[in-house]
Amino acid sequence: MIPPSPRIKRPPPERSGPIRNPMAPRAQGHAESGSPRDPISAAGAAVCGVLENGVRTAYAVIDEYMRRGQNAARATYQDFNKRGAMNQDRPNFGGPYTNNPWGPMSMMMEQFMMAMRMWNQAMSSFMPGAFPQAGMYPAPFSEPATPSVAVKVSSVSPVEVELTLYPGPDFAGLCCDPLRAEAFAAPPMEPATIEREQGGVRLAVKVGAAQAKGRYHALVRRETDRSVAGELVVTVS
Amino acid sequence: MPDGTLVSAVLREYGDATRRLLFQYLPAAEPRRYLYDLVADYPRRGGRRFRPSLCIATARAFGAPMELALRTAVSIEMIHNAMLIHDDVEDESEQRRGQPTMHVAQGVPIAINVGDALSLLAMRPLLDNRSFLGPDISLRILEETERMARESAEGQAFELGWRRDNVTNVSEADYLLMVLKKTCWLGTIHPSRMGTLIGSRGTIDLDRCIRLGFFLGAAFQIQDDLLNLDGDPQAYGKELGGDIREGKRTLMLIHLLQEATAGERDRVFAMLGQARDSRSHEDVVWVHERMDFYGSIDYARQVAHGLAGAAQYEFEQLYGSLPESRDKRFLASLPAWVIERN
Repeated sequence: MIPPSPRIKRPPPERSGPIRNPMAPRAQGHAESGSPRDPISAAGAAVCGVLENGVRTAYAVIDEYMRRGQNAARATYQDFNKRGAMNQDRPNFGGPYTNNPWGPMSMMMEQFMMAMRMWNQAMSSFMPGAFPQAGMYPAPFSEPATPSVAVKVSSVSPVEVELTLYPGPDFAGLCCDPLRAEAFAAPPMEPATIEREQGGVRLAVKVGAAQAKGRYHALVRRETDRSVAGELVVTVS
Repeated sequence: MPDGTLVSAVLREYGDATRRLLFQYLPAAEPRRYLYDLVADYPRRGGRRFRPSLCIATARAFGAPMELALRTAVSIEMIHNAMLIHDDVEDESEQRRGQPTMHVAQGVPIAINVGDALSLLAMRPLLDNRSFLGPDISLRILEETERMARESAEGQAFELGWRRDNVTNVSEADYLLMVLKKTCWLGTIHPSRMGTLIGSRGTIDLDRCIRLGFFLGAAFQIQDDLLNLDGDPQAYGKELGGDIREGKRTLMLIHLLQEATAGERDRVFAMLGQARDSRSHEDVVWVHERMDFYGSIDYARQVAHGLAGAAQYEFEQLYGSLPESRDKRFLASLPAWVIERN
């Protein structure tokens, strides 16, 4: 039987509480003795990790700031959602504009709200001091409304297609670079085609049966000057 | 094109476009002598126009035409100048962009009124946004502007309070929080958020811009504080050593107070507790010399470099996937530029 060894004891830490400030060890005042520290050795100690400590402190500050903001938002949201028992009986107003926590509203209500919104926008243009609304009376530099997009996918595998068109003066004459695999080696997919049609564009994506699973990315360009007009992401799963 | 040249070219191009439109928003009406001529004074003095350029470049990096971001950029520049007028009163500063500050030239009451008027005039381009961006995005920009103004006022309150009460235990974290609110929100976070909002048509979570704006703005502020000590007097445009004379809690001062002897700290505290006019030139020179002795200036420079590196990292996280463009290169060059400028 092995005799028990004497228990190892560490000396108690000099500090009496947790170090919450990452700069604290370096920031310990030495000047209580009244004598200035050797500036050369002080500078040498400071150089080691000054940059890293500064960045660490900055991240601690911004993380704490963001955390408090998120908590405030969460508390506000919860207060909003707990305003009484009647809450359960409220109609389901919601949707993309109202961001309402009570869930989606019915299709009929959504259509009614959309019609009211359009009517409100139209009427506000005739009010004293009002400005013409974007899309209704296009200003000289205003952009046209984003076109509607129809998507046709030919694939034996499940595919998710994400097309982003940047704001710009014209969506006519678009073409697409070859879709290249992101972060893994695979042959590129054949380019998607984008054709202009009434009131929008039609996007066609063909995925071969042997195409490797993963995320593919391509830039959408204007045929006239090859400038970038958007991005296309195709995820094969 | 070298990064510095690219940054200068973009700042000039977008700054000039902002300046041209900004003057169209300043009324040519009476009372000129006491108000509208003075409202144009600070914008006419120049400046880098970093903030509006950041807004425009961010929107353009997403593919938006400059015109869509221009009114918001004008508003940002007007609010910036309005805040400068009030800051100069609060800080009792004597020079701005190489000339006497507004309150030194015109008196405090008129200067405050000019700052108020410029803040209100900055709302008009935001209202005009409705014709270009539609009501939803325009309303969000107004809401964002209200938040930015509130954050800036809170940051300024920290700094003014510390000075009034001669607070001596300000930590680096306290300083960075103050800079986040006072400098970064108007200087970098808000322009970056507005450019992203306009460029993405509101499809991107704007809180993702806060980190990049914070690191970029904090590096910018520390570099500004360093230039206040050791900058080129002609290029800097403000009195050198003015921050020490005004009792500002800079990173260098915080470091000095950590490193100094008890006797030296007492002398600094006593100086900070005096009225601004009572602080002598010898006091300022002595504090500057002690900062040199304890490496406080090198220390702050290293922290600024670290924050610029963090900004570069956050830039890649946020905008790395945007298509290559001149505006994206401009944005990518800013972290290095803010710590190399003079």
